[in-house]
Amino acid sequence: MSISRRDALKLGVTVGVVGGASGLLLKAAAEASKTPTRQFYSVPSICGMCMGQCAIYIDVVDGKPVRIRSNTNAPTSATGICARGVAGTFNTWLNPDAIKKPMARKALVDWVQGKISWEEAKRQISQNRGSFDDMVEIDWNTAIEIIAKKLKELADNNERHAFMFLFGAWGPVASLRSAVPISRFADTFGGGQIMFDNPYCTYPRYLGHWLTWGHGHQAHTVCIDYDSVDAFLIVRRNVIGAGVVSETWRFMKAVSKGAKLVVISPVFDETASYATVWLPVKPGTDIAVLEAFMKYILDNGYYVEPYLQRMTNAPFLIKLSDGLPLLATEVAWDKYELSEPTTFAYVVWNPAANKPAPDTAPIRPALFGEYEVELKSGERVKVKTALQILKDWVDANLDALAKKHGVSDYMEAVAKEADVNVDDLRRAAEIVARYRAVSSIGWHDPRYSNSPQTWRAIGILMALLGRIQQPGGIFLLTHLIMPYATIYNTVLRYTDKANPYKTIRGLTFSEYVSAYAEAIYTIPLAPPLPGPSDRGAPPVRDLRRVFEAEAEKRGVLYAYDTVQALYESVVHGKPFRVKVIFIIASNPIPQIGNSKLVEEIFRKVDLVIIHDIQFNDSAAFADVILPDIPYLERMDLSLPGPFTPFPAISVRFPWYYEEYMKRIEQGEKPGELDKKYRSRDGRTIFEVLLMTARRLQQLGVKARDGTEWSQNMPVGMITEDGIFPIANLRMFINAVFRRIRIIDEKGEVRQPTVDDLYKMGGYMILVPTGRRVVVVDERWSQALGREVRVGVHVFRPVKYSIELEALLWRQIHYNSPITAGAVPLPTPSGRVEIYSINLAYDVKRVFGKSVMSIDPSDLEGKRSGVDPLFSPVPIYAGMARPDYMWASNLPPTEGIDIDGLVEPAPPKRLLLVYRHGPYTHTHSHTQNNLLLNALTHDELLTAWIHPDTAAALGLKEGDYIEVRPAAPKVAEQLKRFNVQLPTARFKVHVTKKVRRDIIAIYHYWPVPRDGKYRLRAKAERLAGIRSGWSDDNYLGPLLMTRLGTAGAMGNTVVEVSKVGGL
Amino acid sequence: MRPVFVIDINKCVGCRACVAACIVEHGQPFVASANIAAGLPRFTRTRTYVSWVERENGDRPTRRFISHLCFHCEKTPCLEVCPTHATYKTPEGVVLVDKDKCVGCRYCIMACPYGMRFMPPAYDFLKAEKNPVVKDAKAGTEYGGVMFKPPVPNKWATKLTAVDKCTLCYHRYNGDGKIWTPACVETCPTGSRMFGDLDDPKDPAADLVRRGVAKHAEPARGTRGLVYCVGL
Repeated sequence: MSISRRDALKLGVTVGVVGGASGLLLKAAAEASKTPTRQFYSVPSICGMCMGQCAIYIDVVDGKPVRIRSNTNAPTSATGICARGVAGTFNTWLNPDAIKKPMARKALVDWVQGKISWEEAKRQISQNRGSFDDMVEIDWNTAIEIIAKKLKELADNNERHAFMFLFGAWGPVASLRSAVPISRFADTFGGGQIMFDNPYCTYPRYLGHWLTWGHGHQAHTVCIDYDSVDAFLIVRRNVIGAGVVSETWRFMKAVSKGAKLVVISPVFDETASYATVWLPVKPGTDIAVLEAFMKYILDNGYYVEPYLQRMTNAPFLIKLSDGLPLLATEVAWDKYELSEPTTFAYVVWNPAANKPAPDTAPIRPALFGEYEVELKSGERVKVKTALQILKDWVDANLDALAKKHGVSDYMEAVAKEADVNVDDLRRAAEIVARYRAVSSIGWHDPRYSNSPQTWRAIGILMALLGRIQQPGGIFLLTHLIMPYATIYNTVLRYTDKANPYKTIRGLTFSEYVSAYAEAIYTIPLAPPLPGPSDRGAPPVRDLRRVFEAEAEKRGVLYAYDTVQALYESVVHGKPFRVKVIFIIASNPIPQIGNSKLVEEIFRKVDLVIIHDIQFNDSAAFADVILPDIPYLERMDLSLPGPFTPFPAISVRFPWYYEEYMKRIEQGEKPGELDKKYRSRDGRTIFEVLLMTARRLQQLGVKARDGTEWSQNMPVGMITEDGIFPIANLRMFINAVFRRIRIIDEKGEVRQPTVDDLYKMGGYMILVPTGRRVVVVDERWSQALGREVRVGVHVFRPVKYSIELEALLWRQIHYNSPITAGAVPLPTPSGRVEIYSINLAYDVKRVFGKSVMSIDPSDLEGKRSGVDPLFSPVPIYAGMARPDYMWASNLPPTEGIDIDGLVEPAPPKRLLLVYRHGPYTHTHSHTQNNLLLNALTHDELLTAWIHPDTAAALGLKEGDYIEVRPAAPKVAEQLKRFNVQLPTARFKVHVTKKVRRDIIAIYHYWPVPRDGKYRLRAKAERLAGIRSGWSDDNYLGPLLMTRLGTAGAMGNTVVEVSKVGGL
Repeated sequence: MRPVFVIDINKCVGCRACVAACIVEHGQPFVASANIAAGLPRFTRTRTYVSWVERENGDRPTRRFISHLCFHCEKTPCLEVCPTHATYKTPEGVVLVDKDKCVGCRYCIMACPYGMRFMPPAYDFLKAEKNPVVKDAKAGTEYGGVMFKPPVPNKWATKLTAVDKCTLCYHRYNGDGKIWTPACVETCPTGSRMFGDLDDPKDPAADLVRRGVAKHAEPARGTRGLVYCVGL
């Protein structure tokens, strides 16, 4: 709907409210007053430039979308949006390297037309992978025919499992929560999916959270009560630099109000600019520093006793014989003149009565001490409280460090180990302890081999200070527990009620959810159609699951979403060979180490399909390239992104939404009308999958359970040429909302609609009312032939404003049952785990040894019966553990210190530390932005080296260096495939902003390649600053560590030498 | 209405969202292809900018994020030297350039004590425009987005033949006596940039000025103006 100035004035506030932007049109009119002939209006939408998914307005002038502004009626963007958001038009329409037509390698076109055999096609395409030379433009029918024909071949050969989706965390940004249709397609066809950046970017952190407070997938599963924080402990995280607005403004508000800030990072990053104390620790020694803080807190009585007693497993009695917590069912209660608890309970020590007690008893249990408890078997077992074990082990660990460095004081020992100023360390400890610091969680992980335990240590510190699920601390976003049910069922395996240590206080995960449904707020989004799994089909033979089982046999705990499995599978055929890979909105080659080895995956696989908005490194290895349409043109259901503190639903509206709906009302044809608004011949991933499903159906390939595709996916909602019209999407999203219940302005309980969302500016906060109702899902009932009833929460919809922030915190978090301690956290103890029951149990299960065989003074990890990496309380045992270099069966290379890794030895061997860009760091979907490129300092793209190191290398500011991997094992791996050792050149910035033993580069400005379609804007930006394989992932090994399969790219060491110049 | 622009240095994170918003709002040219000295932004010049002031204090680095824009001086040296009266001041105190009257003599640039005026670099701009990447990108403007043109045309937008400077987004002012919101303020994610009305007793930005928390950046020069800083 185009609105003239006169219309705008006439409609005034009424239309403003309807448009979700009161007063907006008045401003539009004001602007129009300068140019009275102009027509101006704004459409609410959701930013697609990062996972933050801020609410925005798209300004439309004279029928063209021209500008992006923040929508302040959302907790994401209450104060504004970042440079990336503002620069969105440069990614969508002003992108010189946009993909505009489907393309395929010529041999594939010949194959699908029957001109050549598959063997011949395969031979030709494998020769051309890595270049675009043989790519030809094709129509959508041909593109889909290639995909469907190949999938049919897999189905005919009983190899459905050889199909794999590959997408990064940003993949879901692509469209319509694309993970949902992707999962459904995979489930229906019988293929698999890997979110590849988990082990490389974030998974170690998730694992640390799961093992500590039970919830922590992605960055949006916990939130921080920034407004009440007095001090922050930031560990290797660039809160400011990451630039996710919903977090940045809250963080800076706290800092400007005087919150203290301790930053642990080897680089003086943007966040360190505001640090009260900056500790540039030797990379990987973070745990030692955190232990020093723990000891300082424990020794000086800064811990919060009532919190530890009530909300953590600190008082639980741990059996010294096997390292497992004592269960109430084991104790001979009659000996203590107590009756056995009737409900599930662990055991604590009651100091008042000097005897054990169930943890459910209303007593103040002992936090420290060693005791003996008589069991039903008549045996008396020695036990210690969990907190006592933590204290003892931390003491032993720090004593060992003190001996190592020949000092008596633990602070001095840690300062020497971490190579930081001891006075700064003491000051930091006092700030952390006195002001009860909170740690900002963030997105990425330092990617060290010991990262999961670093996150455990951070969690334990916050627990000691009473900062988890408490005002001024972090809160779990419980509405995101259910979407990550897989974690609890497949990784942590809370599935066997008979095994108490693998339950949530005696309940399986599904029982836990049912039992505490009133406190676990769920937003029950549901696809309109059920899939094979919903109908009870057995699980697909998923590469991830098979790999996880195999990995565990080889001493890897908690493997999950492990992309290394793909390398094993494609390159070595273990445990089975994946043949077709479909990459969604991602650029895996430069995002997974070692990138040269990852290229081997794509050289060896039968067929690679990529769906993206622009050409990128991985597209050069694809055989079929499919164009997406830009986010500003799409209508998507998009859930709140990271750091958004409240449950909400949001819808991304295309800039032409109003005008489109009006023209539909006037009788224009859906589909045809949609085409008019599209800037290119693109299709969303949902459309691509539906077209493929439709073609498979036509070819006679049914769903894996024998049903029709149309019973699993809405193939009937797309047009002949594969367009899912906005009018249909509107109906579809309404159908997805069908189980959600809100109380509307009339007091009626009903489902929300797309129209409700539009009125609210695309963003609706859902405040739990405490009321629950049962919804009968008619669609699923009909599809499954039985009544499907779902218990759901009733929410109060709220249009956000910054004035409501404090109220929302109170209503949603402070007053929640989980905060009151009435509902267990999703951990085995139901509490924050000072002592990890999961680790204690799984170590025994997998290695057959008690965690008590770990020697906490074993700094090298060589004396213990079990690797200290798996300790139930985090201890420092050096940076790098003997990591497993997957797929390499060669013995450890002689002359290297650690298997697959080397230690830094300045000046020539430096640890490569990657830095996150402040305002221009974007992923594959958004990394070729002319404006953002222009906004970036040259200095940020150089390699940062300390002046002392530079002097030793004979370097001065502006010189060039050459960098290559230092670990012989990396060279060995590459040699096996005749791949040349990757080298990179960087311009040098000499600065004290980095340590002497590191080289810091700005991550994810990947290698620009010459030639057509290769991120030319990026390449021009980098000319003269860096060249060659100049991203960190090219220079490290392809490995996985044994706790959580972390990619450990943070352990990469490089050889540095001076060169004369480019 | 008496507008004041307040920059709280203690809230700035150097993200340059303000710069991006300003560039888009006014259609400012930026150079995508040039390779200029390290440490400098890739712009020829922009109406506002955030510099990262980095120093080393012994072994310790420091960094502050400092915003720059025209101070819209009360005592206005640039206005005084303008031979064609292209530079003028609105009743609200906003210093503007009438692009049609400006002959590009650059006297005002030399007169500005703060270096906040500039000539759009025509050569660099034209060179950039011929760059294949920029040309390909510009083709997209047929559908949407703007490049080197303001989304809402106005007479103070960047013009290659006239001196350029911050207008406090005066084109957003409706003429109704009510305060408006400049693009940089609208987008600033941390609220470091604020715009308010001294005549509004409830205005938080004006309050900072009234209480003396926000001060002129270089009071010794005596130019005063509409822009105040907190924490400089």
